[in-house]
Amino acid sequence: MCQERASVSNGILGILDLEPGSDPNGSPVSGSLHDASIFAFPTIRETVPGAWADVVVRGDPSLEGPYIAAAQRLVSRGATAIIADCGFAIRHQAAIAAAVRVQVALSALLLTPMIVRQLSGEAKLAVLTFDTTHCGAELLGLSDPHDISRVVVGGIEKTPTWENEMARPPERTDLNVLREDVCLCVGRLREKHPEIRALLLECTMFPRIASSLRQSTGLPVYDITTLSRMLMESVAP
Amino acid sequence: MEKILGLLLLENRPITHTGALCNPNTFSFPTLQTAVPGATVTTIAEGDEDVLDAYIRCARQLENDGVSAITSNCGFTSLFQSKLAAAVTVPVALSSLSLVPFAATTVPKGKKVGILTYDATRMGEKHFAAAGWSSAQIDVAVAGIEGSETWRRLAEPIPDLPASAIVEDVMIATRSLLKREPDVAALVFECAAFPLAADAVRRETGLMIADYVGLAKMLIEVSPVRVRHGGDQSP
Repeated sequence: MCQERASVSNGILGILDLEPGSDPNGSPVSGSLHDASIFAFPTIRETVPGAWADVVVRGDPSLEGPYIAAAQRLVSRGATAIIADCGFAIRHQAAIAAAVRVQVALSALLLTPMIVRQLSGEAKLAVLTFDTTHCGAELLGLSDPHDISRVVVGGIEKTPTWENEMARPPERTDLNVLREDVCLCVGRLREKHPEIRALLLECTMFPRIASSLRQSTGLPVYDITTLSRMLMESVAP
Repeated sequence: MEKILGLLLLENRPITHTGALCNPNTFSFPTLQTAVPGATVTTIAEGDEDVLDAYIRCARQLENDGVSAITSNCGFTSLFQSKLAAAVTVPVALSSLSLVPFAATTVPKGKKVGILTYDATRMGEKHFAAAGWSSAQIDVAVAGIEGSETWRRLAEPIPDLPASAIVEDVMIATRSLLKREPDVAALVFECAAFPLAADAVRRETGLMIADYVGLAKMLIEVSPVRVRHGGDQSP
């Protein structure tokens, strides 16, 4: 008996969405988590009531219940693994993982320990976030002070991209505007920390420019799509 | 230009059945494989670090040949992770043991990550530490295929065994682990021969399994395309 390893997973990825969810009349933003073509597996989405970007970014314990309920709806619709369309949802990782029987990996930030420890001695990981003022060390999953000192966090707060996303409802950000806002942030970080050897994108808007970041910096770039593919590669169909 | 994965191999002829790390058809991207002189199943599993220099030499050669990222085909090489990551400029993830922190984040509190290894009697805290974690931080349960036919054959210079034998021995070890440790909620396969058994084990147990093939795909995905300048890219 020779086991064929399927190149395409049979599972379904469930995505916990921010308010106001997908625009039924709008076309999905190319390269975002709304764009079905970025994955080789199907995705389904559930909007978490009350989870507006500004609330999830700063964190609100009262969202825990709605997040769990939405995750349970995803499982009942057939999701075999669950992520979230906002890296700051990591605050609900433990509660959701305990509440459903499928694998849960809500945020690219969960990759932080693995990446830091793959880097050599003094090399650093740069975490690029939507908002540094809310992306503290407690979200990085590291306890060792030396490990924590090897992570630098940069954000795009107060940029046009940030303003667009914080609006209710959010406004679409042009790809060039997003790229400029993130690249400025990366440039500043690398100037201050030349020992940066990898980038991790917390924000789920950033995968749209991951490939261009790889080429402009020459560095490995990890994001929520990396985590999603690894998760779907690993779970039972 | 296409991204190429560099593979640092043991001298034992690698397992190339369908689904194995060293079968080029497992991936949609090309691989460049090189055997590291002096590195064998036996020397690496026994913790012989004299081959470190050979690993560094071979990693630099792979980088020079244009690979975008480097891994190996033995999880016990975690011992060399830090030194190799420092020796080249491309991303390096030598051991599937580095996936344990990822697997651990996806399991509920109070549950364990099961590690299926080639030889549990030789795998220990120093391998975990070199892969960047410890059993004090992450609750793991380790089981191996030691004593099995697959274990014996894989140590031979030219292992000759059918995929079905590997699947069966991995399945037996998994069942025994789950019986002993019912709290195991996700698995990591240390050995590069085990991914060919992953789907069968997933089907039987329903568990998530992170392995070398997933690690290799992730490495290539995150890596930038190499820009070549006249073939010389020494760091």
